[in-house]
Amino acid sequence: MRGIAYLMHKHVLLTGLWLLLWLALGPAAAQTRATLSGTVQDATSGETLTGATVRVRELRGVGTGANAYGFYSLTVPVGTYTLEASFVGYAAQTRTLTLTGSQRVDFKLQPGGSQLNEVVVTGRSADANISKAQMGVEQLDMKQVAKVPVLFGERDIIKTLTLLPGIKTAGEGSSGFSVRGGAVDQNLILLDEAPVYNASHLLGFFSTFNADAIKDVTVYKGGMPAQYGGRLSSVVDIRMRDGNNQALHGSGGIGLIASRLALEGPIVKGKGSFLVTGRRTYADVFLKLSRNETTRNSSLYFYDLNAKANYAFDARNRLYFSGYLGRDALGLNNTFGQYYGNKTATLRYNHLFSDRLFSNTSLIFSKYDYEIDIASNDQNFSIISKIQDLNLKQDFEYTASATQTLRFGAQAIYHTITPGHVVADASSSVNATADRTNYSLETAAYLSHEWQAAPRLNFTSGLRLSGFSLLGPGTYSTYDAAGTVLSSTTYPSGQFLKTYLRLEPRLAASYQLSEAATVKASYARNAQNLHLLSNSSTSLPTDMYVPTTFNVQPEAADQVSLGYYRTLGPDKTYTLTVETYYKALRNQIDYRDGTSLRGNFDVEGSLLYGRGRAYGIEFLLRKDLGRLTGWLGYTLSKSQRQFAEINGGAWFNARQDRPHDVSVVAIYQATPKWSFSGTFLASTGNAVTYPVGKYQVAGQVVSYYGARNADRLPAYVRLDVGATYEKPHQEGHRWRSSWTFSVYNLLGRENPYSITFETNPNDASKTQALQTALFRQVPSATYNFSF
Amino acid sequence: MTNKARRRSVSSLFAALGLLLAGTGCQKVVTLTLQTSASQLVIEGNLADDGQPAQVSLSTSADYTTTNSFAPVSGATVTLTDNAGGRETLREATPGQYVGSTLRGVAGRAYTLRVETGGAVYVALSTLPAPVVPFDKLSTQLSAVGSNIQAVVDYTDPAGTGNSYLFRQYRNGRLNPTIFLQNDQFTDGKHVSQVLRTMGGGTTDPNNLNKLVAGDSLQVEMQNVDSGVYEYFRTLNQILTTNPIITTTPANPKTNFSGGALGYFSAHSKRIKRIKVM
Repeated sequence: MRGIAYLMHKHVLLTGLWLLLWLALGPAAAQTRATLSGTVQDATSGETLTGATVRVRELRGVGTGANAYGFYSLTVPVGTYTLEASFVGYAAQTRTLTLTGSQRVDFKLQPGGSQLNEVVVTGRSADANISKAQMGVEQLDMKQVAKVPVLFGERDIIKTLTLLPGIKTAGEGSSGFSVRGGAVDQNLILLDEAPVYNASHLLGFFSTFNADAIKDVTVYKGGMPAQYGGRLSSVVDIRMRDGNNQALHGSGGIGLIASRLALEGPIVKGKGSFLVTGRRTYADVFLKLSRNETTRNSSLYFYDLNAKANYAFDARNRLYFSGYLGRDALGLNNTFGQYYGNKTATLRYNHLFSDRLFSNTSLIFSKYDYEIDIASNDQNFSIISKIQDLNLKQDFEYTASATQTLRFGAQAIYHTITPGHVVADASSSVNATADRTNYSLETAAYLSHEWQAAPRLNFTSGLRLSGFSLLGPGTYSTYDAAGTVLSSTTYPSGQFLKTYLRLEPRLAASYQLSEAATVKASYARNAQNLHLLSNSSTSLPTDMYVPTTFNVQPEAADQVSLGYYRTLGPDKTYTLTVETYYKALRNQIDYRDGTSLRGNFDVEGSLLYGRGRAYGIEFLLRKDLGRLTGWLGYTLSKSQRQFAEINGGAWFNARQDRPHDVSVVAIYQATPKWSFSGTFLASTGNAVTYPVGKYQVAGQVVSYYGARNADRLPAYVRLDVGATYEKPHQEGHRWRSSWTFSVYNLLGRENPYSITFETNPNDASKTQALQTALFRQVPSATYNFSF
Repeated sequence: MTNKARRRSVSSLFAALGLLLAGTGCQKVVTLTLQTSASQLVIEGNLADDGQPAQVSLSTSADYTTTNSFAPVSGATVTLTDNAGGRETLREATPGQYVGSTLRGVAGRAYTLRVETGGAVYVALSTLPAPVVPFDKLSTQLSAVGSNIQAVVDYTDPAGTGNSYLFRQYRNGRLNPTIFLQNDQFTDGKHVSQVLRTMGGGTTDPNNLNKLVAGDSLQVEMQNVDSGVYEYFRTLNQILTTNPIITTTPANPKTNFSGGALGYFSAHSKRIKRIKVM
């Protein structure tokens, strides 16, 4: 407690220092300064352009990026300037103006499109990486995502993310991923600010994000800004498109697995728009055609629905609503059914208190639930489970001066978690089990200060205070060292049962060595209070979330990183990023060997707590300009865990530890009609546990296991290729269409998904290792259209 | 349906789904260089309430890549005691096979098996559950999915949790390797009609133990086991029924022996039913 008091004291002191700083540097000079503010939008659709750069040509190093709502604010001395707005894929726009007082300047940028020779399209703000202190951040360009070849031709942002250094898929065909050696549950995946608890469809072969609805994706692998928290290893911030506010448009596609349809248009032209997208698989249509009755009576599908609407009351007030609904269904001849999915809804209100103070208030709902129905003999029952969040969030962005921006805000999330329990009526041979729903409140307040201390020197410092309270009602137990229940207590509702407070400092600094090169350093601490228990590398719909409780402590991570950034080539054609990191993880969770997670109310008694370490170096060479775009990435890394009860307390490799990882992504626009793409991946195999012997028991030959994860799957190598044909657009016709063809795993290499050990079916005196590969070549074709 | 069986059915469904999606997937036998370990002692001890004396088998583990041959462990001192004052030393009938003479399995009695070999001592405790839950009925039915014939066992679980059951199935006198486990975590006090789900069963191979056809002699043995034995077989099944699609980190089963031996000691009831498959 004294430690917390001390930290709190330090926190107050630091906050005071900040306030003093900007009071001293900001308003003092304000008499001779004026503020430029406004939004940056796509000229044809009205879509706001997150991350668009606005800079003053005459003032070296003075510029800013548009925020997630396309808003920018820039305070400069009065004078005559050339203001330039630019964004990847758009023609840059300049405005010359004489500034005597604060002024609103909105930009509407023309998309560069595929007419290669027409306009000079600026690259991804190559400068941003050079001029900002933020590090460990990657953005995905949805136009690139559309062309990267993927499994079954379903564009997938999560799968594309895993092609970046430091982000590794949990396994072939999995939507789970590991960032810088972290666990799959240590990624905060936000869809329009709503956390998505299970981002996978159909065993993870597809992610829940319909690319048609997505505007942009930003992933933070380290040095998370203070406005984000709650997970140790990464933040994946996915923003949905707003919809076209100029004219009604539609788009869609017919693919191998699913079909998509999207409709968007103005609610009031120029002031508000809507977007509705849907996606559904149709494998079950083929099931219905089967001659086998069992197959006919089975179901297998998933769907996604995204909807968004926004309306600007005036230049200062704007309201957004976004929602997502996705569902998977898997049914087998009325004897087994499994249904699961996410629902999210976000209501946001943007308000400009002044041209320098931007506010956003969000009310967010998120729910993930599953239901399993079983009917067999006299056993009719269901298992249901859910995790639900109600979340209120307030964020402010204050442009203190030309060189300083302050961000501050607060958040409160009310979690309701219902672990899987049996629902059955009296006639069933299965008994209903108690509903052990638990309630908790996650709170946070943060302050972040972006400061250009000198023309070449930038700092971003921040502090996040996070709290987690376990609330009543609920029943909680204490356990002995062997995991046996010692005592159980049932608490009434309306009580704070246990509260944890954590201070999370975030620091980043950059120094620009030259016009083209920057070095950066950062430190971030993160805390995590929701923990996913899974005893499989495959993400299953039934994986279980547990909150921090009396027994389960908040997970924590400290990450330091150093980076070098450089633009290369005449027009800054290439950007090179080299980042190295060390991450220390505490209160990591594993469980005793053989633990059953299902229906286990005392699962906490089976948990083990340990620590982890992950370190590595990542190289990324990107080319965002010209006919050939893409990147080349290489990661050298290590990720290990240590638990007193596992492996005799020795460090062991985490399953996702894959020291070498190479990825190459290339997209070549050969002609205005044809573009070709390819991705190449090679990495060390996952760390796994092979038997070190065998013995006979109960009439069976059984494998004997030694140290955990002491072996490796063979290396993984895959080449995917794709081609996109865009039908030449006819003047006066709205209809546009394109075909995308791809081959996943062109080389047909049988990459081991798993190796299992069994008795040789043809010779019971022998045992053998059986390698399972999921995919050889998988061709696909997708037809896309828009109007 | 209990925990274990449910997991198995869910897993096999996912496996089927996975392979369906991965229409182009493939499996092949690979040769790996595996690490080795010092040979481990394996104890398998059984005492049933069928009037037969205790049987204990001692053997050692072998390197994974060798042909299955597990050296018996001779010359060990194996003693069995019960909580009613009984005590005997088992004699080594054949190398590595130790057999009791006087003590019998009695419901409600707790037995301690002590094995001393190579200067080390291994001890396990197992209680023969009481009262023994009767094996009500054995029948067959057509599976709801596919068209396999499945064995169905019926029993009535007594009120109060903590009852565990183990079933073994024989087709024409040959033991199916699958270990069917049940407990009353979800079925306390209920009449249970449980399908013994075997893996596969799709082939017409007359020797396939997972397949049942009309005319077969079907025998099922029902055991009441204590919770330690249940835990052993539950965790044993975790590694025996590995699923190539849902990979988990494997671990050695939770033995009820102290001292670091592999294996188990089970004092259990044994009830057998036999029918002709129609």
